This record gives sequence, structure tokens and C-alpha cells, in this order.
Amino acid sequence: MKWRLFFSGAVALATTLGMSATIPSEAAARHHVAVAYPKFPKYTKHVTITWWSWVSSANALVKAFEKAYPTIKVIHRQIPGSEYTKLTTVLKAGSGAPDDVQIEYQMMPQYVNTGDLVNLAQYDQQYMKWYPKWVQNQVTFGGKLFAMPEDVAPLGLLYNPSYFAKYHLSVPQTWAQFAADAAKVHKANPKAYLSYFAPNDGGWITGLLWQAGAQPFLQMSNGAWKIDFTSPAAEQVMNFWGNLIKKGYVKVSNDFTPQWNHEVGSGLYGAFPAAAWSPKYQLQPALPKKYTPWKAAYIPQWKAGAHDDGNWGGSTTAVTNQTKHPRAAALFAAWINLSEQGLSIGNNIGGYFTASTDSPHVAAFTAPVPVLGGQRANLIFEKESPWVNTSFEWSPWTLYVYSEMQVEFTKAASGKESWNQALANIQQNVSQFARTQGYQVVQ
Amino acid sequence: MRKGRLVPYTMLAPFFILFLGFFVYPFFYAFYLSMYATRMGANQFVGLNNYLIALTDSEFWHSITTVLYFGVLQAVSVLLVGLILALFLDSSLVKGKAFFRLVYFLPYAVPGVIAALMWGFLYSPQLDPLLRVFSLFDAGKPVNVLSSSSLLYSIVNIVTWEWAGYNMTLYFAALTALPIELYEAAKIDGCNEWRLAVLIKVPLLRPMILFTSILSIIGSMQLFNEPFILSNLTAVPPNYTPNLYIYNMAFSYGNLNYSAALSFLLAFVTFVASMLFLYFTSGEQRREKRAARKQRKAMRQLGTEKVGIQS
Amino acid sequence: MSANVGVNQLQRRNHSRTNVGRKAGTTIITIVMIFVAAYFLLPLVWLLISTTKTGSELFNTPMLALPKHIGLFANLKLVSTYHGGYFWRWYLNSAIYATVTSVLSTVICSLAGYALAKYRFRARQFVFGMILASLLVPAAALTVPTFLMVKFLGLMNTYAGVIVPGLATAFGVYFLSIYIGEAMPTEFMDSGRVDGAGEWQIFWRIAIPVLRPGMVTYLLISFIGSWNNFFLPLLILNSSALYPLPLGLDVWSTYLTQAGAGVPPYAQIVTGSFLSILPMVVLFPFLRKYIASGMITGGIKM
Repeated sequence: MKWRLFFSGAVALATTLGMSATIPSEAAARHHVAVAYPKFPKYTKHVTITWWSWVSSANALVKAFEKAYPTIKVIHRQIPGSEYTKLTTVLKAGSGAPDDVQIEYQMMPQYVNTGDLVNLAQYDQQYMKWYPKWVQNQVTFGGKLFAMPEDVAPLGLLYNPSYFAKYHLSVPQTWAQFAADAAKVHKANPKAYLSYFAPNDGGWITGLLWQAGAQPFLQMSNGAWKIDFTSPAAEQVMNFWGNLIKKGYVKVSNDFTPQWNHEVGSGLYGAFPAAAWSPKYQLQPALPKKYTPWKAAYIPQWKAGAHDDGNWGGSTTAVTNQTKHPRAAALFAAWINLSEQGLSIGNNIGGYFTASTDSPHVAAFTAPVPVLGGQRANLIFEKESPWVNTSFEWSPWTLYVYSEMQVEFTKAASGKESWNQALANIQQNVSQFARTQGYQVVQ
Repeated sequence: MRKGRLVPYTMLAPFFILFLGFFVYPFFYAFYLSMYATRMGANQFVGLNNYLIALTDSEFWHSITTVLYFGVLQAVSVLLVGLILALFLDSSLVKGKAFFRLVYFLPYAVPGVIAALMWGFLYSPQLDPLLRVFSLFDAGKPVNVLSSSSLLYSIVNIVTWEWAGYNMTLYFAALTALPIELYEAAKIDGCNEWRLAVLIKVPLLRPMILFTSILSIIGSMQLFNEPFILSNLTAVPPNYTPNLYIYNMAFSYGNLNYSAALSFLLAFVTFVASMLFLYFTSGEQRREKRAARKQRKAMRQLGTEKVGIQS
Repeated sequence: MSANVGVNQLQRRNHSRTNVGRKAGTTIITIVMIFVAAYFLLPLVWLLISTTKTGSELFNTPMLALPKHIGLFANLKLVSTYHGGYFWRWYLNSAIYATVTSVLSTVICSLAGYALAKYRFRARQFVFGMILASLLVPAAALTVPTFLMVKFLGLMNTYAGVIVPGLATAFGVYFLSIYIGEAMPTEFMDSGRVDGAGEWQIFWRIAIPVLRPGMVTYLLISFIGSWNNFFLPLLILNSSALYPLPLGLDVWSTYLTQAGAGVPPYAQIVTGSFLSILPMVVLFPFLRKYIASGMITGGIKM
């Protein structure tokens, strides 16, 4: 039953997208690699742990965990939007940090470097085999394990089929087609925009750069950092968007703002590059009560027929060194991300693409996504997941880098400087900042 | 009475201990911190290196120019609105003064955070009526007053709303304290209300205007709450103002030492800005002093040194 | 001084009556003043009206139109239960922070101001100079060390961590010392001494009754200051249970655009903002006089 449902869903999806029907069998093939779910140890001490997280499945996860481990009480706290500022503050304060905390991959190096996270190797190393190698790499530093991956977030394209029908567009396979579509829409209706560019969102832009093969940060074997924001790949991506903005085909709009929500909700845009969690966390909150469903598709490619992708966000569960119960906290981090129940809740209520792609798939993995008209979107992202360039590295200054990107790209988007200049400025300022922090930098 | 000698010290003690602990000590400790750098978890003395880096930190100086520009706009709007309102209220032309005085001063009772939230909502694109008023100015296109190009002006408006009445109250209080004889004299000279305001009242308010200008310079340099709150409603660069940059440097990027250096530098820039302002606005007094010096010199030459010094 | 002001105003009113034919001027200025008043009242009126609207009406009805469905009670319930139902706790916290800070600060600064104004002692000039100099130092310069100081004292995430650093304000001592210097005749102290009263007795029995108006002014300014305080709590506090209102509302407003925070809490923030400014706005007409009269003392002498 489960299988049939999954299969028919995938076929329906493939038909919608006009793709060959080979996807389901490939996806199915991956399932057989899977081993059984991990077994978790007993825990009988009575303890209370706190957990900071913004996933919408938090309460459900806590409930399920407390049922499995009645002696551990978990207090969940929804963290304010400026999470990392709050987290850094309480870590510096020496008190007030939670036991478990949701941290995105790009922030791992900063907290690892300041020594604020617990090495989980002795508790959780045995669970690592359920994760693909590159995801393991994102939480492993110097042979130590600093977090349990929750979800990964390959980029895809979210689009509105009714909008596409209105302007007679087909889903763009390449960025060149995306640009041509944007021009077509704007010429047909000067008030309409196929998409937007969000200069405030360093994470999103980094995902786009990642897809194109840019590698802004590379740590050498001697510990020095090679910082490279002015690579041809980076310039290609930024000038691509820059040209669309200059011609007026794409609107400049800061995402995750009420203004952006309003624009998406009122149907201004037909498509945007987004991550696996976007349908639940980005699109759905922006849409009004009555909406025409959107769909997920593969991310457009720079080269026709290529399979390259980047990642935007994706989180882990880490344990801070202020914890008094590292074993319970580590157990919680593993259980919510790898147990059958945890995965089920994460995929379904959580609406994210769980990172343990080597686990057996829970039914919820292929659950239809309401905001996408019932599309089983995880199948798209699952297909894209191996396309992600896994040699990409994060620096220990991500928040500063994102601030820089926001400042410089906002300037470029308003025509105050060229996009290459913006990249050069980022290159210079980030290099200087890295040196202030005591790191060695090579260009 | 010998016992009584200690009394002023005892009275001063609670204040002085707290003042030392939470002002003097932090001030010097900030300087101490700023001379160090944390390199891979180890504290290292770097002398003035953090300051040298800060001097070429374009983010920092960009934030400084932002608040300087903001300060000019804000001074013009807050102080000028406050001054004009005070002059209106002090003139004999207005009825219902008590009501206006209260209404204008009312925002003082509203926390800055709430003021920013209220205005942020009023600016938000979903609330069409207010934006339609703005759209008159931009060819029918809805204007996003929270966009990066108009953000600064939106903040000026919030700050004007918050502080114009406060300044009005200060000016008004100063005006009511002026001696009435001046007005009588002016009336005899045939001054009308306008001339009275411009020629008599404003010059007499000079010390108060200078005082509020200094407050306003210090306030602008420290701008934090409004952009911080608006960042929940729109995109505000984390380095928008010096104070935001200092805050993020310490608590987002985690660099306490550099943050301390930046805050010291900000204090210095603020101090210099205040001093320069005082210097340029006290031109008249300087001329007077120079004249006095000349006079003294002349008198000395005449052999009446003592008189000269006393004058 | 206040008697003087009264006479001044009286005379001025007489002096203006002698002028005639200025109706046009009056009309124009009054219209301008009404417009300006509308500007100052607009956000407050909007807030009042919006508090009574339901979340969806907030965005679908004209800004200042009265609501069709009264959402006030639903909003109150939302505010009381949203995210752990801390709102009223924040209310209480704000009251605690403001009351404790203002009362203690008034006592501490009055004592210091009295000592500086009424005694001649060796350290006087030095302390006074230090206070004056510190008025020019922006608080921002102290962000990091204050944070570390509070940490050092073990006051992170406590009421005391928010209250203690704000008690000794240079402005308070400066303001009160100038006020005391003017309002408290030294002869009172001398006659007290003649009657055999100790210095402390003189302070409590003679000075305080005389100085009450100035102290009340400072108390109010200090109360409003700490009621509005945001930056220090932002640094020091991390438990929702300890937040003051501005910090709590800031946290709510971060949920407006945060991925995964659910329905944006517009109605909660609007209602919460309204409730949190209500007491001060209602009391303000009665307090205005004290605040304004105090500000001038601090201001004119500068």
C-alpha cells in the first residue's frame, strides 16, 4: 500500500514535470541500501534538559521522546529570530545556554572554534553510518563529532503552475531559460516579475554560489584560509542576477520580511530558488488562506544537462558545553534525528528533508505537501541531494560574511557599485576580519 | 563635629562604589580589553593593533557616516520641530496650550521599542491607507518606506515622533523662565510676535539649543533600538549603525576585544563631534574673548594691568 | 522659581491682549498645531483601534476604521497565552524593574547629590568633574565591559543584573546636586545643627521634606527610563520569565518573519504594545508637570 502510493505519486509527479519515469526506480533503488533503524540505549536517571529549536515539529518530537524516555524531561524553547546572537550571548555569559540547540551547518565552525560545543563522539559516533559521508563531514571537525544532523536542504525551484500557464512558460531547466522566462514575463506585463533577488540573504546567495561551483572558503592543511569571492563562478552568478535586476526583469526584495511575504502572497512572483524546507517554512507562511498550490522542481542548471546543486541551510542538533547531562542531551540529539518516530515527525510535521538518507524511509518521507498541491516534494530533493557539491566548506565567520554580503549586494542591487566590485569588497573585508580574529589568510 | 567630617563621604559612598563598578571600571576595562585579541582561544596582547584595524574598517566608518547623516537630519527635524512648537506655544496666538503641550510630550511616555514597532507596522505594506498617502509622491507606485533606500528617513520620522515633544518641553520651559522685561522692551520697539520670536526668543534660547544639540549628537551616535526593532520587519544590515556593529561584533561574531576597541573609538568620535560642535557654535564667545584679550593687552600697555585682569 | 514663572505668564497674557487683529495668525497656527497633534496621536489612536480588531481585520480594513467584529477579548486571550503565556509576567517584571530601580536610584543619587551640593570636602571637585565628564561618554562604549562585569558578579539572568548597573547614574547625581544646591538653604542645616541634630538627622528630617519635589521629578524620570529600558535586559536576560515588556515584545516581533514560528503574531504584538503603554499614557497627564519642571533644572544649567 505504502509502496503503491509512493510509486503512483512519483509517476504523477514525473508526468507533471514532463520528465522520464526513471526517477521512482532510482529513488527506490536507494531505499534498498538502507540498514535498519538504529537502536538507542536505555536511560534511567531523572533529568531535565532544554532544547532551543525553531522547527515546527518541536513539540511533537519532545512528546514522542519523553514517551520513549520517561525519565528525561525536555523543555523546548522557540528561539527568537536572531538565534545565533542570543546563543553567542549566553555562551559568552557562561550561563543560560540550553543543553541541546539547533544549529545550521554554516554556524558549526564558529561554535566549534570557540569551544562551546560538546564532543559527542563517545555517545553518538555509532550512529554516523546512517548519514551520507558529506553530511558526516559537516559535523565532524578534527576527528571530533559536534552535532547530530537533522536535515539537509538542497536547492530546488519552487514555481506556481497557474502563473506559468498564464505566461505560457515551461519549467526552466537552465538559468539561461530562467532569464529568458523572466524577460518574457516582464515584457508581457511590466508589473509582473518571474522572480526576485534577495540581497539580504547571505545563506540563500551562498547556496546559489555553491551550485555554480564557487568555493569561497578553503582551509589549507597548515590551517590557513584561502578566501575566494572573486572566482569566475561567483562573478558569473552575481552578474547573472545583476543583469536581470538592471533590466528590470527581476525585482529586488529582501526575503523573510513582511514585504516579501506580501509580494509572494499576492502572486507577484512565479518562481524562486528555494531549499527543501522552503515549502513549509518560507512559502506556506507567505500564502493567504486561499491559494493556488505551487510545485517544486529541480534547480535550473548553468550547463544544460548538468547535475549541480548547492545547499541552503539544513540544521543539526548540537550539545553545548553548559550542559550538566551530556549523555541525555546526546541521546536526545540522536533520537529525534534517527529514530523511526523522530524521522516520521520530522518529515511530516517538521516538513524538512531528513539528513539520514541512509535510514529506511519512513512513510512520512514521501508524504504529500499540501502547499505544493499534494506533491511528494522530498522525492525531488532526494534526487537532487547527490548533486550537491560536497567539497564546499564553511568558515568560522559565517554571520560576518552574511552581513558583508547583505551590505555589498544591497549596494550593488541599487546600482551604487558593480557586482564584481561588491564581490571584491566582500573579499577584502572578510579577509581583514579573518585576520582580526587571528587567522592566517591566503588569497 | 569631627565625626561629621565623614558624613559627606558616607553619603557619597553608595553612589561612588556603584559608579566605580559600573562606569569607571568598565570604561578602563574596555580599554584594556581592546588591547588584546583572542587567537584560537588564547588571549594575546596586541597593543593598539585593534585600533589600527578599526581605522581602516570600512564597515565601521560607513556606519559612522550613516549616523552622522542621520544626526544632521534628526537634529534638523527633532530640534527644529521642537523649537517651532515651543515658540508657537509661547506666543500669544494659540489657545488650548495645555492640551497641545500634553499631546506633543506624550510620546515621551512610550518606550522606544514600542514606538519603533508601532511605526514599523504603520510602514508595513499591508496597511495600505498610509502607504497610499506616500504613493502620491511616486507616480502611483506603492512606496516601500522600509526599503534600504528610505530606511534612514523612516527612522528619522520615528525619532522625531519620540523626541520632538521632549525638546519642545525643554524649550518651552526655558522660554517661560525668560524675564518679562525683555518682552516689554520689545513691544515698545514695535516688535510683532514673529520678530519677537526670531530676534529675541531664539537668541536667548541659545544655551538650551546647544545643550539639546549635544544630547542629540550623543543620541544619534548611539542609535540602536529603532533599527534593531525594525530589523524584525524589514532587512536592516547588521552593521547599519556603530552601536549595532559593536553589538553584533561582540554577540554575533563573538569578538569581544575588537568590539571593545570599536566602542572606545565610537566614544572618542562622539566626544570629538560634540567638541567640534561646541567649538563652531561658540564662535561669538570666542570673538568676545579675543576682544577682551585685546582690551587687556591695551590696558596693560597703559599700565593698568590689575583692572584688565579683573575685567 | 515657580512663582516667578506664574507672574511671567500672567503678565505675558495681559501683554498679548493689547494686540488686536491677529485672528488670521491664530487660525493658521492653530490649524498647524492641530495637524501636528494629529501626527503625534496617529500611532496611538491606530494602536487603540487595532487592539480591538481581529488578526485578519488588522490588514483587511482601513487603518483607522472601527472594527466590525470586536476582537479585543480574543486578542487579550491571545496575548495572555501566546508562547508560554508570559505577557503578564513581563508586565509585573517591568513594574518591578522600574519601581526598584527608580526608588533605589533616587535614594542613592539624592544622598550623593546632597553631599556634593551641601558639603565642602576634599574629593568634591574631583568627583564632580568625573561625573560631568562621564555625561559625555556614550553608554555604548560600555556594552562589553558591563556585560562582563555582570557576569563576574554572577548576576547574569537575574533581576539584580538588570537593576544594579542602572542605579548610579551620573545624570541623577548631577541633576539632584544642582536642584539641591538651589532648593535647600544652607541656613536650614545650620539651624538644625544649632538644635543639636546630627548630619543624618538633618538629611532625613529637614532636607528630604524640602527636597521632595525634585526627588519626585527624578524618581519619575528614572521610572520612565527603566520602564523603557531595552538594551541592558537584552544583554543580561535569557529566561522569558525575567523579561521586561519591551524585550518580550521584541522577541515576539522576531517571530513575525522567522521560519517555523507559525502564524505571524501581529495581533499579539499590537495588543501587547497597547497594554504596555496604557498605564504610562493614562498617568502621563498627571505626571507631565513634575517631569517637565525637573527637566529644565537639568537642562538650563548645562
